[in-house]
Amino acid sequence: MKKKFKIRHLVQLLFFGLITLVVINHQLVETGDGISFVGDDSLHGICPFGGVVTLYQLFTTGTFVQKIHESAVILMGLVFITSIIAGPVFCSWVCPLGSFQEFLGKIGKKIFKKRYNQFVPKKLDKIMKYFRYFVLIWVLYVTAKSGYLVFKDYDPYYALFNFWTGEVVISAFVVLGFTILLSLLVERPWCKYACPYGALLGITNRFSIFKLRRNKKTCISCHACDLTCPMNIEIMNKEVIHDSSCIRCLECSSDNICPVEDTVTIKIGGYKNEA
Amino acid sequence: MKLNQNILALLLIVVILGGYLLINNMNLFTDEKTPTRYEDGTYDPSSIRGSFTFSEISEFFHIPIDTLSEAFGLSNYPDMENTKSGDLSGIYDGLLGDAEIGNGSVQFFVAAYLGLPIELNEDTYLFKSAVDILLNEGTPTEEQKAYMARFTMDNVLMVFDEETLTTIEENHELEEESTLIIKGNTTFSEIMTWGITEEEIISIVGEMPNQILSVRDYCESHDLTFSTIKKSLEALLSE
Ligand code: SF4
Ligand code: SF4
Repeated sequence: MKKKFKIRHLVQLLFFGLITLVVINHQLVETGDGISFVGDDSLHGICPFGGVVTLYQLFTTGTFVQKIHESAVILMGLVFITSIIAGPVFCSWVCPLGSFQEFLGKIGKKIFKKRYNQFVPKKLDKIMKYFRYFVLIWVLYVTAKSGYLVFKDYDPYYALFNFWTGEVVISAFVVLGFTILLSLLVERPWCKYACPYGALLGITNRFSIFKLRRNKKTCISCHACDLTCPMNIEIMNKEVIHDSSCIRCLECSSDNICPVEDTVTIKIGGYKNEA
Repeated sequence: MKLNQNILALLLIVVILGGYLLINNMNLFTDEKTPTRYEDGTYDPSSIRGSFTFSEISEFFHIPIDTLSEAFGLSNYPDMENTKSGDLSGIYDGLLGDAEIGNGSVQFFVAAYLGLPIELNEDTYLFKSAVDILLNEGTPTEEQKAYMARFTMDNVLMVFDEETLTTIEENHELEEESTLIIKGNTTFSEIMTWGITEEEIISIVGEMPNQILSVRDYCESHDLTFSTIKKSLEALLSE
């Protein structure tokens, strides 16, 4: 590894801290002790399920009377702006649930060493990765049909940030519990197999302005990128990584694991020495 | 062109965090300060909350602030702009007998002034000064006129000297402490912790909603008017 200290981790920490603060403030405001410059909303706009449902409501009802929803749409709009520019960077740099799983993964790596994140057979992994699209459709369908925010009952993000409030139902705790346990075996299990927001943002891997590219001319086929990818993507046999499960963590890049300079980067257009 | 990690970090902080803070400071995150709109875009007077100041009400509903001051007997009240609609009950506390002039009266006044519909609550009174304005400048419906004929009371003449203002301030503080307010994100489970029972909730909305839902989300998804449900629940809370 080239650098021990990673700017991405700092950004993750910043957002994790901020969101924790906002959630705590949300509680404090209710008891009258809130800090005014920090928001006190429950941040559905950047919550995996909340974002999707917000989007759904935007399409179906069109207008937003309630400010609380407007703010969620705006937050989601901001996330989409970053995704259109650089792909699903939200997942790897911002999402607190993603950061939480990644942190647990560090413990998993200590326990299982090289076997960590390699337990699921490749074929099965490929099939299971489609599951999050089913979740996405399910969330949209259930919301459309019942008009009910049922998702809260299964949302690990909501459970994680509200576990002390007594508002979280058991099913959400079960999903969170599974996510925690599986995180010790598999890197970001929730992101990889279940997250509807991740599924949606993942699509931007295809059309983001900056794309993740490998320079096949300078690549020395060392497999370092493949081995490090938390989403088990095979980078070494691709020139542009369009895989919808890529979270643009840039772990595979020449800034991090790739030993050859300018060989895996996120950029506009191809490499100069490629023709 | 390559996107370097530091630039990416900066981009995320500027766009998401910067955007968030900007919106937050523009007050978009608080669901407190804007009345809801009817489908045609006009504001709904029944969504005026006690936390709205008279200058906000004047702005949203295009009613001159002097008209509002006069209607509520506050022409010589200092700092009318920043006085909140909910402060009225504190100002007239103990002076009106069983009647109450408060946020409900403001909602009614605005609705009748603009000729908009509003649910009529038998405990909402108006001063004679307000009724005079409504009859001369407003566009009340026939039903609202009939209501006004029954629920008008003579103005209470007040001198707002220092002593009166201190008493008002004290009343106001006491009231703030004792009222539990249902906000956009208040959930059913929260109001249950404030002492409202399942049966009471059922009697208001017709069924027992999922407790983790916010009252507003529930109302929206069930075509109920949030402000009406909120009012009924708050009435129970203040009992
Ligand atoms: S995939 Fe979902 S949970 Fe994972 S980082 Fe992205 S939004 Fe967060
Ligand atoms: S391909 Fe690279 S950027 Fe994408 S998830 Fe894997 S390591 Fe991260």
